Amino acid sequence: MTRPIPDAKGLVRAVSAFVQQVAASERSSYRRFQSKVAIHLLRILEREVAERPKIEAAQLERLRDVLDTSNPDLEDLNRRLGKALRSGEIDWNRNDIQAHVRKCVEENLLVSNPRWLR
Amino acid sequence: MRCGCRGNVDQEQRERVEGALRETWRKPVRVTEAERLSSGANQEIWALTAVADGREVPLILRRPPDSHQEEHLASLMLTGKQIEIELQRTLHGLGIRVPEVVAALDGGEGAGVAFVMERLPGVAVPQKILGDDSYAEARSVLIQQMADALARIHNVSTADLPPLPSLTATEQLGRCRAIVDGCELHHPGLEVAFAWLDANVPKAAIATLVHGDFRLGNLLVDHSGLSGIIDWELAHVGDPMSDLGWLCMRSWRFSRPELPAAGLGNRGELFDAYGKAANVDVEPERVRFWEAFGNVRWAVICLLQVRRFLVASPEDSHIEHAAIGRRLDEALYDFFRLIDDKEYPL
Repeated sequence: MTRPIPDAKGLVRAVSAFVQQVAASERSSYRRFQSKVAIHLLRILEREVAERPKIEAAQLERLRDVLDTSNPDLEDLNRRLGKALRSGEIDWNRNDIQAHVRKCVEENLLVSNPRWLR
Repeated sequence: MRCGCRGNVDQEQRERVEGALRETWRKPVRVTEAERLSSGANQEIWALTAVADGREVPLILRRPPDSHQEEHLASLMLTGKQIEIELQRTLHGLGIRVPEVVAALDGGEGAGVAFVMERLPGVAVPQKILGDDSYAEARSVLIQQMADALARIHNVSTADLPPLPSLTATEQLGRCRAIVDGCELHHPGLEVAFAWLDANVPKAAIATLVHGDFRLGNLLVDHSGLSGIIDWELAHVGDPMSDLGWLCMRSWRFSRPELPAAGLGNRGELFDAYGKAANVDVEPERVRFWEAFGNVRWAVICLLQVRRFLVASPEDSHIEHAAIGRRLDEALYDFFRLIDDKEYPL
């Protein structure tokens, strides 16, 4: 099947270039700062489109193991684990939970700011 | 703003500022320039120029944002504007380098309190301070100056202070949990972090005035060094080591992540300088707890910011509030590194 063009990357590039053009004629330093933030968010969006489905599949699989369930709703499982950790129903110090939350942080950073990972 | 001035402090706001300054100075005043500065995530910060007797006076206006939703959640973290103003006045009176408050403007019901203060020399832009050649001299003295300033702040008699919130680590954790609940968020990573911190709170320490957000972004620096300490909205009474831990977080090191003390030097240099200035032995493991704690506190502040974006109407929303939500995982990542690493490098 032919992909429509521009693809996701191309759309992000188009909007980034537009924001840059608008920012170039902006006198307010605050607005120029906000334009930089906008371009930064577009780069994150580009990685979101590419990476999020894989990340969510991996998180779902781990959560199902941790909670010993076949529930396919990621949001629901996160809510259940969050509540159970707060109430003490699940021990926060369990190795699989410690590993899971660290892995989630790393996966999210791969999208939000890969350079932060050491 | 009219009169060819930059920015858009509205006419009403300008008249209120002029009125308050007129009352303080007892002479006619005109505000001729207003530019919004890009710093200040909780507050709008404006650089103003007021003219009185033909003399130009550079000022700073701090005012609450236009939209006031979620005031209750933010108040779990913030000192409170009226107390913040009193605190700045007290510290200025004690000779600590804090901008003098010139006038407070009560906006009436629901509008929050704004205030105008002197504009001290220097910039609070870490990227410039850490990167520009013109700040090389400042960089060479800043660790010592920050240590001296913190020792001075921590040495203020709490009897002289306005009624600041007094917060132990455990109390702060309770507030962090309440903010997460108020955001209707169930976040397993944050829950594990809260639980770890609760289980590792160091034994009780002395409680002093704590700035609460002491980092280069809240320090005015000119080419020769520290010229002012600003942004007291997170000030409270608590463990003074929390200011040292906060200052060492990677989030405040910018282009120099390898230098934990604000991107300027090693932790050991900062701890030695502070220890001598305050005449105390700095316990690195206690600071390490507070650095870990600081990251979780910062994660919760990120959450408060993104919440402001989520509840704002499109015309009141600010893109930087949305962006800050994406920094939450940076803080959690650093938290886990701090508690997992064997060493806490000095």
